[in-house]
Amino acid sequence: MTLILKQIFSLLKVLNSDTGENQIAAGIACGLILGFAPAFSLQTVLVIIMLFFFRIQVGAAFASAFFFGLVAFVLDPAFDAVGKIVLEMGALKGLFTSMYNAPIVPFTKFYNSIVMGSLVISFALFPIMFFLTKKMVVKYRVTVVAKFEQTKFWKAVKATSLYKWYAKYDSLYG
Amino acid sequence: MTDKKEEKKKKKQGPIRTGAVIPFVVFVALSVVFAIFFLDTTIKKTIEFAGTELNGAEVNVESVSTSFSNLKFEVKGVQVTNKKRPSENLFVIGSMNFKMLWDALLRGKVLIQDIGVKDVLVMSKRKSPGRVLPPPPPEEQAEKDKKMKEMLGKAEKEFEGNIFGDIAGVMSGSNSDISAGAKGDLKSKQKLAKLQEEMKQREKNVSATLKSLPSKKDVSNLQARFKKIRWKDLGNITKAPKVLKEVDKVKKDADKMIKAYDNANKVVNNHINYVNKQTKAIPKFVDEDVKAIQKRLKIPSINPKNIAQMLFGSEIIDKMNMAQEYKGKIDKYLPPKKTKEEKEAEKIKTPKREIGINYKFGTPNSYPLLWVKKVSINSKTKQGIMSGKITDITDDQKQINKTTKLSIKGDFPAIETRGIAIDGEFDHRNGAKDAIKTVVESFPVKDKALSDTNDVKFIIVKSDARSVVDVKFIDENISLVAKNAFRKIQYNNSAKDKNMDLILKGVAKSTKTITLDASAKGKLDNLKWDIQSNLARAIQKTVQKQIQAKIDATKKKIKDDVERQIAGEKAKIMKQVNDAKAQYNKALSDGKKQLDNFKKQIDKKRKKEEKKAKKNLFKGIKL
Repeated sequence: MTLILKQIFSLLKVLNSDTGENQIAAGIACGLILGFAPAFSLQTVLVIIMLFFFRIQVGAAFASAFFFGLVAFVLDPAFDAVGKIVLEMGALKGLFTSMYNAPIVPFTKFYNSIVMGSLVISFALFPIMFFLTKKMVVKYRVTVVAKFEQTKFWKAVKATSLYKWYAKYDSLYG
Repeated sequence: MTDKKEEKKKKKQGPIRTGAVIPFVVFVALSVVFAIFFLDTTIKKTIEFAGTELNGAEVNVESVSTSFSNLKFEVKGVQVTNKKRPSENLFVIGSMNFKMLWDALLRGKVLIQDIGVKDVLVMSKRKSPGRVLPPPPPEEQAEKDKKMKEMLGKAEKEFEGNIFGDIAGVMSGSNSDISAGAKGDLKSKQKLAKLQEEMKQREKNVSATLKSLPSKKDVSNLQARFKKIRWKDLGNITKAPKVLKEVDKVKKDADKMIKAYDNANKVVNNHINYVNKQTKAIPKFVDEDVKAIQKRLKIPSINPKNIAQMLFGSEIIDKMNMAQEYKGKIDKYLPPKKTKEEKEAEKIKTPKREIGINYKFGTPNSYPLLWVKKVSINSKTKQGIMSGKITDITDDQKQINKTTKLSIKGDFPAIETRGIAIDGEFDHRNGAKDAIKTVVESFPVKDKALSDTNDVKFIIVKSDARSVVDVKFIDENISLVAKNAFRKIQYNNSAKDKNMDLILKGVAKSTKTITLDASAKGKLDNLKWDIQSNLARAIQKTVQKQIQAKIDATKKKIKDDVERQIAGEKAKIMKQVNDAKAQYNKALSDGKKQLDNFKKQIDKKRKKEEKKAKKNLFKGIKL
């Protein structure tokens, strides 16, 4: 429960911060790939490396990986079915055979129906998730955050010394 | 103004996280520096640490050099300390060349195609004595190892002794204080005391059962009830059922009483049978006591098997200990494949995603985690030559479907050790089947003392030995066959007692070559030993005539002594049993007889009265 709350709070914190919407959207889309992958494999390592080198919001990526990881339990039959279709495609057999016999590539576990299915679905959903999230973040910031900041309640909270202390603490250690 | 500056700063940030690049570059640079300057030392230290743990004594490595481009590394000057003699090396390897495979490494596996071993020296002197590790505490030892050590300890105790010293003792009559020897705790005496305690307890149970038997008063009450029955009413159709019911009730109560007697009879018989059985086992304990006293007084058994066990038992156990030590290491580092159930049991239960189907596209080059395909030994040193190979050392034999085999030949004229041949196969694909055969055609044996006391010395000062040891481990079963011969023997034998001195000289003269054939077969907890030697037969032949009669007389005296000590107790128990038997039998048979007769009486009377009643039933009825 603590873990879930922590993820929710970190996501809310990112949404309400000055972080760019592209970074948040990319983080959530990358989290989708991480969350859907059934096991630790080469593609998850690649995504983590991307998180490290590119300006992608890491907190958003891990929070979304956590939520999509839960969703994946329900979607496993769909991943399995899609993976089977892809792996049984005659046209790709040659490619898969050479990948299967090549070094390093088998670490991706691409030959597993669920890994392949989740990979295909998460790659397909990646751009959709990216643009959708971006749009939603912008909308959220304009409608929810901006309006909330104008409320008397928030202004009153901001005026308290406790909030000021927190804001200072957050700017120093947050 | 400041806001505008901040905005400009923010806009400058591109998609690459520049802050991460620097740590990454530092990390890569440090890795390269480590690989260039510290990797060799780290590998050297690792080999030394792991080797020391594996060997149980210090292992030193002179140098290690690695080459990344063709995945090669060379280890020079490996010294393996001899655990028993830390000032010596068990062996020294001049150089070892490892060649690994990129293809396997890129799949996360280590495949060494060939390890070239050169310049092997055996039993060479160390510059300084090597560190010897203390044996692992019992709780860290595998269950199998513990069992084996226990068994070897038991056997060692069984084989301990000095046959020459014992013979000398009998001849000089110094160990004839039999009465003192028989005064200790006798097993047979203890058994009798225990039996007496048990008898007391059991007799309590028997008494309780006997007390629960119907008393004379109960029987007479029943008889009184029987007498009160109004048999005349049987002729009356309305009263007859009541009479019959009462008769049945009395009969049933009589049956109950008879049953109680039967049960008591059973209890008594069980008790008597148990005591008889226990007393029959007493001679076995007497024999054990006699043997123990014999051992304590050092009275030898002049049969070749016992003599051979005392002479060479410890040597065979040493060999078993050595074999077990290596076997323990093989089991630790090359464990047999676990079953599916064992693997499942080890897994931590966590919610799992579905497994899916693993498709196969041909047969990939799959390797086990570690696979040394071949170790080639090719050594020529001032000591001699050594050649051979060890193939397929792996952590997963099942995957490659190959067993680990070794075949090594050596000849070291400089240390007088010739014709070494070691052949072995370790099969851990299904369970563990290990076999190793070692042959050494000739090696020197110096100052081997078979007896080295003030009274008797029998030492092989110098000899040329041949040894063949064949050991097989199949799961919990062991088979060890050893055939040894000591040739060209120079003895040093002397004894204080003149007769004993003559015996030793006679034995030495008749055994120019000593043979030692030993075997140990069976399960870990029940090994059957067989040790035979012509030296034992020679000793038997030489001393039997002179001391057998003396030994037999001593043995008889011990037996008589033991039996005398327990005679009182034994007689007491036997009397107690016989008395109890007579007493119980009388009490039971009298009571049961009385009840049986009473039951017969009921049946007889009932028949008679029923017959009579049938006749009178229709009397007076007019048709």
